[in-house]
Amino acid sequence: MKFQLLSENCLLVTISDQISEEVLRKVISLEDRIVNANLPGVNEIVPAYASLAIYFDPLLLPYQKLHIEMSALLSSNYSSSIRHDTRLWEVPVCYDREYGVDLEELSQNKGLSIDELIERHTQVTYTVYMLGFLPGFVYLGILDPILRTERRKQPRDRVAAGSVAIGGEQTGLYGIQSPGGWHIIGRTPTTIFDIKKKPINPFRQGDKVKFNPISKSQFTSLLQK
Amino acid sequence: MKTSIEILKRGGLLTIQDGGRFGYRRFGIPTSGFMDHHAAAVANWLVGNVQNAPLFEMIQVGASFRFHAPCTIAITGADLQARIGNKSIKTYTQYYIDEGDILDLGRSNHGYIAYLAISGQLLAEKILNSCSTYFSADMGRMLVAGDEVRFIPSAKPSERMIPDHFIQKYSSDRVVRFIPQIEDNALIEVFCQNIYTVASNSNRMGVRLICNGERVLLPQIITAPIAQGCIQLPPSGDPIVNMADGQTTGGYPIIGTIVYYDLPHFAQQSPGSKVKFSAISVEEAFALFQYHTGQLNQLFAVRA
Repeated sequence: MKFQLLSENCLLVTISDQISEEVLRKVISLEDRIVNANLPGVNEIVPAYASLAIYFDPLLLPYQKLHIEMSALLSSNYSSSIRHDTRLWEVPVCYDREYGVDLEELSQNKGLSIDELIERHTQVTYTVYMLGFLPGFVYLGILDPILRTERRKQPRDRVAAGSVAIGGEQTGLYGIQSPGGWHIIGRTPTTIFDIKKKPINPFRQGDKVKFNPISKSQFTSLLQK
Repeated sequence: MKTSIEILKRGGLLTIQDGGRFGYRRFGIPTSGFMDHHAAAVANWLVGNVQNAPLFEMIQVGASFRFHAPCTIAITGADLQARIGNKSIKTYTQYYIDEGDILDLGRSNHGYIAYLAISGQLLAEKILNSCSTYFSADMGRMLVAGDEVRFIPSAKPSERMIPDHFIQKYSSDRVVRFIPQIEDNALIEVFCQNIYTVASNSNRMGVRLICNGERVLLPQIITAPIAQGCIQLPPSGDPIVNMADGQTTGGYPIIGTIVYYDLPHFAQQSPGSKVKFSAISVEEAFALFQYHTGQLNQLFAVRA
């Protein structure tokens, strides 16, 4: 457990240096506790894989006090129960090289054929570990160990909306066009992020995701719908 | 009467921003809002608005506006050589605008980002409780020539002058202070010895820096929340500072966070400028926060 003042109005609580479903349950449980504690001065909670950020008003809630409150919340036992309404999402993905611009390079570096790479990526049912980075980004885990790849040395200025990518031991979806440092292996025609909808992003922490490979023509026809 | 401001020329990046869009970081939606929260607050004060009222933000090159109703204006931040008609006007000063007047801003003499505040309420669409433009996700858009922004004029504000100490100078020899996020003091020292150049592909999301010296490399981390001002270190060793439209989480290690009241000065550094950093303690950072927030609160309390 580590407390870190990320800025004058943001306390980062790191629960673990590992990614696992057990850690994820702890993050969700901690968020529930903070919400229930209803501390004046806590403005926003941003949960992640193994950590959680608390945005607070330093004039209303001095960070020393927040520190003490958090320690108290953490010392009592975790209920560690994950939300019951988790859903399974089936997401169509076209793994054509036109969309999966890094497939070729990955296949060479791994010594795997592109087909084998796709198979390894699609056979796992992933867990939604968090949303974030940018609107609509969905972080999923955990990747087949063979597919794990460090992020690009130089992030791209532009990654297309719907891109499916690999970064470290994570895989994920880019909800909107944005810069990004992950390796792009495919694209989904499904709209992930829409501010006119409620919720803005239907995926929730703890949900399950399975990728279904589709052809280029299926991609085009789904995109037009 | 239709009260509006017409955009005649957009210049560089012209958007409407306010204090920010809060409460949606968990969905990956950045707060957006003013890049230079200090200059923006002062602009709003000068025209009698509340501190976080929406106003025009201009990056790199100024825009031209035609006013279809009288109002009081103030320009703060970068000096974009503003003129009303043929008359040059100063930054950080109230001016009265008549119906039909044309305000023209050009290239920057000093600084990188300017604010135009008008006495009244800009009628920009509120999306998720904020008028801040975040065009990457279609929340508002960049303004262009031909656009018309309507506003509700307020009563003429009292005459007022901003005390000198509220006017920031953007000279690049001022060191940018940060709160270290790693415990290795030797690495912090290396980081602080370097001089960094602001790269041309910097934007409202992140200011990219080019390291002119020994690169600091940190081990990768599990993706975690990041805040505005966080100095990320990708494996290239060239830092990226998370700004107003910055991501809500990130996987690059963070060496430190620029203190809240040095962010405006940092944001005002144009591409090609040189930047140096120095580390300060959490206690010092909070003291600065309290001091500056107190000063601004007092300013607004007196002339509310």
